[in-house]
Amino acid sequence: MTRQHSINEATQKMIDRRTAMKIGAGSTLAASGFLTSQGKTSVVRAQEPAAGGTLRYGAVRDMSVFDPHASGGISNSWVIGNIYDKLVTFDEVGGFVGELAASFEQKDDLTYHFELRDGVTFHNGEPFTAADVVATINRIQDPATQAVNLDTASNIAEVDVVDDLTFNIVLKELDLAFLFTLASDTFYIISEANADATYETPDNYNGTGPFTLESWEPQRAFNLVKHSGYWKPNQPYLDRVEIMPIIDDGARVDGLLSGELDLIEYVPWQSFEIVEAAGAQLFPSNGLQSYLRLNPHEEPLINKPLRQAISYIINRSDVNEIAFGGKGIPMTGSLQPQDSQFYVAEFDGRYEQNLERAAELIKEAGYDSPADVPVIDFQVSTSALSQQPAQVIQQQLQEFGLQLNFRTIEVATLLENRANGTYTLHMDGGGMSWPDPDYLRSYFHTTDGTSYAIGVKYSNPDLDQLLEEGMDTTDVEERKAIYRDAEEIILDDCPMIFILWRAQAEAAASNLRGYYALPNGLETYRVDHFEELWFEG
Amino acid sequence: MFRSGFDRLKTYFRDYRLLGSGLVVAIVILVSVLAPLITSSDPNALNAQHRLEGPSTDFLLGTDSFGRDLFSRLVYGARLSLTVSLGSVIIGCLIGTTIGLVSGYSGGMTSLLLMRVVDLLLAFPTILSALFIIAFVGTSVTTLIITIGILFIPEFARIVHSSVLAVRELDYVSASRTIGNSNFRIAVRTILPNILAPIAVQFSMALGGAMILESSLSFLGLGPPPPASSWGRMISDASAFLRVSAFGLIWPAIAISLSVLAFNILGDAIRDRLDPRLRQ
Repeated sequence: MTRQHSINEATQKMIDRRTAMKIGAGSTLAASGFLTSQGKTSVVRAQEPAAGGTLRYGAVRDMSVFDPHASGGISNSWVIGNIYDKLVTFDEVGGFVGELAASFEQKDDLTYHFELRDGVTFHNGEPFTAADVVATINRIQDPATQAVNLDTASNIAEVDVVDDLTFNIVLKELDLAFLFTLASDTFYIISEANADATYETPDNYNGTGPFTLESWEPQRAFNLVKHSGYWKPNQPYLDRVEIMPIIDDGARVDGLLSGELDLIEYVPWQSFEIVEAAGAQLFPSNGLQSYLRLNPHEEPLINKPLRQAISYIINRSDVNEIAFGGKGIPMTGSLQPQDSQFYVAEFDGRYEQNLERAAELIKEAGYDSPADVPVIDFQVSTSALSQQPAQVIQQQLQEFGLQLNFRTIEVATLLENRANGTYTLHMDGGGMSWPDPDYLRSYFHTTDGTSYAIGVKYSNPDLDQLLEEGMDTTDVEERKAIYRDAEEIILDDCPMIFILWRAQAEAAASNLRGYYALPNGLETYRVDHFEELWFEG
Repeated sequence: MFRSGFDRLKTYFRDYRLLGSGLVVAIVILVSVLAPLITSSDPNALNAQHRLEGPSTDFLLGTDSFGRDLFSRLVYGARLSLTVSLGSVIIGCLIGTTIGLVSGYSGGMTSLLLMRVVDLLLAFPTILSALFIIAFVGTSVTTLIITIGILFIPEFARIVHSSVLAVRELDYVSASRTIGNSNFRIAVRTILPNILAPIAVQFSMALGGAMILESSLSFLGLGPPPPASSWGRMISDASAFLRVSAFGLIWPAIAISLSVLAFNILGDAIRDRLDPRLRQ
């Protein structure tokens, strides 16, 4: 099979899914253009997978939260995601496929129909049925669980069980992102018998996934062994998986290059070339942003022309070059990824560095010169991902004549300040909550803006209205117009200043087969498909 | 008189430890004071075209990941390291010596109380206490100097306290008391000059210790805020790029090791000079 053939096949698969999902969320998302294939990561199977072997995985941090429905960060999904399954998941081109669901279909705006796989068993031997799905949803809906998906799951009006393997989920309101919720790494299906289990430790795990937890040691390793009764034929290929937290980026890369690890999470950009030169496989993506949060209620950033001036002073190409080795994508205009159909090309270059315009805006803001602007407090976390771009931006602003008080603070303090809005200028970064322009709502909507607006009490009624319209509209052309207008407001108001899409990657040993990274925009989702991995030779 | 002074100077020069360490310390001090004369390039200027380069005629020691001149950053880093260590040791020395003097001279309950507090402070690992204080007050050169200074108080207090105990009952102190001098005058004019030697030794050693502490805190990102150039920060900036270019790490590492070694050897050499029992 040639590579070309395989990509065509992938595209074909996506079109099939497009036609399959006729209405509502399906058509909007599949046609949205977010879910494009990365040719590089498409899987070419030249030979039959070989069984056996142990995968040693280097994660960026240890697990501290063990609940399969609570937030423990992305690193958790490598452990929990391989012990548990979800109803639906993503394939390598970012399309939805059934996992525990043999098939699924959206019947109308509010109703989703599911047929479950027959013959699936939990690790303790119990058969998996629709009752387990009901128990899972009940547990997520219980506020005591503190589930990540509590809000979205509260929108489920009822689960209508037809028989052991068939049920319908009925929503209260239209939710374009409902399948994303089901595919997220905190919607794992637990067994009904296990519904009251607590997860202070991982000892109560009982999933349907490809591996079972054999033993674990805090700060050292999670040892997973093959679940012989797994529902996918012949899978998992691996006998064992060892997941080890290795916090230092350099040590993780060294571990891969020296053969002590087979797959590693988060490779910093400066190691890309080293990893490739050593013959290892690199899976890069550009789906996470670096941005500045500005507090529009703190002096002197209360002044809109000053906020705009800051955006004009920043030379995003230089930030990209110096802080990210030129491997990121500067965001001078639209806030959507370039391969999205919602990308607004007319905004290109809007915030190219323009020092003359910045000087005018400083005057407009009521200051004779940049030196008259009060000192701006600039909070940056100790993480290199923030420190590097922040230092470049600081230098650019200071060269222009603005004065900054650069403060390095602990991540925990920073998160608290972010939630409470106790900052003036704040270097940060993050991913889209889901691959749709609706992600802007999680930043800027007065009451839904958990990532920004709520903290600093940012509120723009016009923007709120547009973001709500966008959420309730299914017609793509209408949505394009809505989000164009929304971006216009955000770019003009500068509550946040977007710098670039940064580059990061995962990497695997040269003989590991079956791994793929999800397409851009799905960084906050993970495909924990270790059952498909195998070693060649 | 002149002759004997010259001879004495000659013996100092014959002490290679003293000469070598003194020379390194002198260079560090000179470089710090004359930083703007030694290098004309801005230590904070970014240069996207010259990132992570090796030594060249344009960049004597190469550049870091921001394209900044490593030589210039090393020179200004010396200034910062020395300012912080000197400032903090002076604070530690002044307060510590005062506490030690009061406690050693007055004795009794005052001494007991003061020394227990000092012991308490000594019980905490310095780096941990530093992290704790800085987490509360935030990072800047001033807070760094004060924080490290506070951490050096107990050592000075302990040493001065013991030294005072050793000389307190000597004849010249009794004599001073007999002629009716005030306690303050006895402590400051009679005792203090006679215990300067151990203080001087501790001062030099503490400078080395403060330099390491400053570098460690900067390495952890808790030193003076960027773009300030500090040796510890240079190492932490460079560590992410170690596989691409090691220069950014090598130079400040050499600078820290040499300076700290020099301060410690200097302390040892001064002690040997001043201690008649160790003099040959």
